Amino acid sequence: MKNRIIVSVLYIVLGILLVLAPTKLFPVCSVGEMKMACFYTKQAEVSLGIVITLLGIVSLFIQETNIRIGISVSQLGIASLIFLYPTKLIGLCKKSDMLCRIQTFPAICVVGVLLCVVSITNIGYYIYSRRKDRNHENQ
Amino acid sequence: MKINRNPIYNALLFIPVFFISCSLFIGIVVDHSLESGMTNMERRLGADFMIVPEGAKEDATDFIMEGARKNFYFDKEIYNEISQIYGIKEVTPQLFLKSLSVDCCSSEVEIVFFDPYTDFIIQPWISKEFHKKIESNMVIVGNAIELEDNTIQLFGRKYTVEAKMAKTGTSLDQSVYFSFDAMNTVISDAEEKGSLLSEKLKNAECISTVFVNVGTEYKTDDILKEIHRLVEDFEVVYPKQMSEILTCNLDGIYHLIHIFIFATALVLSIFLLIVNYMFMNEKKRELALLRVFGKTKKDLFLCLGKHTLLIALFGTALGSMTGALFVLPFGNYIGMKLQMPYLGPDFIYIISSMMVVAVIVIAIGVISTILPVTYICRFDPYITLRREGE
Repeated sequence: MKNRIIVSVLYIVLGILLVLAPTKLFPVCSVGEMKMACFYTKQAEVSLGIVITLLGIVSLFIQETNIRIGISVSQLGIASLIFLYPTKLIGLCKKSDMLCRIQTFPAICVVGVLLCVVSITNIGYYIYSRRKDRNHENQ
Repeated sequence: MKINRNPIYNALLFIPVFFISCSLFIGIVVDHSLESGMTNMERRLGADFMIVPEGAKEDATDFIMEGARKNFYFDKEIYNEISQIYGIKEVTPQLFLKSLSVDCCSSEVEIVFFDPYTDFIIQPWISKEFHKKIESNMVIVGNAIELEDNTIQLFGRKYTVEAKMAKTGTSLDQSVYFSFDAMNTVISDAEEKGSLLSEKLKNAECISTVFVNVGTEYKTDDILKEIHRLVEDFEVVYPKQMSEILTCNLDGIYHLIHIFIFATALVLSIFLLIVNYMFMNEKKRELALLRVFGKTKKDLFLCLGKHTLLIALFGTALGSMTGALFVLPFGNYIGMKLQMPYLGPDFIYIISSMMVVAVIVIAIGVISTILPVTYICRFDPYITLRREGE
C-alpha cells in the first residue's frame, strides 16, 4: 500500500517535472523564424511527461502486482526515450552554448535518471517480495 | 545483537549523512571547476597586454572575462609599427569575425584569423593535432565545435581541421581559427553569403588586436610609452592584471563555499552526535544488559560502529551520486549564471572527490557514535540496570 502510493506519486511528480523542464523551468531556445531541433525535442519530451503522469495516476489505483511491474517496465522504456530524443532521434541545436544544451538537456537527463532509478527499484522490490512470498508458501 | 535495528534511528543517521555528502561533493566540484576555469583562462591569455582600437576596451574586457568576441578593427599598419619596437619579446595580431549562421552550427561561431608564425596565444593550447602545418584551407577549432570527418563547412566551403583546442569552459570553445592566408577566401565567401563587411575588412587591411609580451629585462611602461609615440587612437587592456583581479573576486566566492561546506558539516555532525547520544541514553538498559551477559566494551563499539559505518557508506555513496547527478550535467549552466569560466572536473577528480567525501563523512559518522558509546560505557552496568529499574 505504502510502496504503491510512494512510487505512483514519484511517477506523477517526475512526469510533471518532465513537462515543466523544457517549457518553464529550463526552457529550450526561443523560436525565431526557423524552428530548430530542440523545439521538436521539447514537444516530444512534453508528450512523454504526460504519458509518465498518466501511468503514475493509473498505478495509484491498481493493486495487481503484475500490472504494476508492467507499468514500471514501460516507465523504463519511456526513460530510455527521454535520452534518445535529444541525443539520437530528434536532437538539439548543434552549438554547445545554446540554452537547450546548457540547461534543458541536463534537466531532462536528471529526470530520466531519476525515472530509471525509481522504476528499477520498484521492479526489484516486487521481484524480491514475490520471491519472499513464494519461500513462505513453500515453508 | 539487534540493538540498533530502529528505523527512526537509522533514518536520523542516514539523512544527515546523505546531506553532508551531497553538499560536500557539490562544494568540492564547484570550487575546483571555478578555480581550474580561471587558471586555464589566465594561462590562455598569457600576454602582458593587448592593444585594441579606441572605444573597444569594454568589448575586449568582455572577451577576457567571458571569451565573447566582438567586431572591432584598426589598421594593420599598427602591428607592423609595434613589432619593430625594441624590447618586445613576442607580438602577434588577431582579427575577429563573427560569422553568420554557419553550416556546422545552428547559430553563430566566432572566426579568428591569426598569424601561425608569430602566434603564442593559440598554438600552445592545441589538444589534438591532425596535421603538422597550417595551410590556407586548414583551420583550428575550439573544443565545442562538432566535427564530421575532420572537416568543417563555413560559408559554403569545406575546410580540413588541422587541430582542436583544449577546453576553456568559455565561448572561446566555439571559435574557428584561420591563418591570415585564408582571410581573402573567407571574407569573399562571407560576402557572397550575405555578410555586411566594411571596405577595409574586404581589402584585408585591418586587424582587431595585437597581443604583446614584453622581454623580461624591459618595463611594460617603457614599451607602452614607445607605442604611444608611434601609434595613435588605441587602448590597452591588461589580461594578466584583469584575471588577477577576477581571481581576487573569486576568492570571495571560494571563501563562501568553504564556509558553507564547513557550517553544513559542523551542524550535521552536532546533529548526529545528539541523535546518537539520545539513542544510547534510551538504550542504556539494553546496553547494560548486554554487558552483564558478557559482551565487552569492544563488542559494543564494534557492533554499533559497524552499523554506523554501513549507514555512512550507503549514505555517502547515495549523497555523492545525487550531488554528481545535479552538479555535473549543469556545469555549463552554473558557469553561465556566474558569468565565470567554469571547467568541469575529469573522471579521476570526480572519483577522488567521492572518496575524500566518503572518508570525511565516515569519520564524522563513526566519531559521533563512538563518543556517546564511550560515555555510556563509563557507568557500571549493574548500577545502570538498578537505576533504570527504579
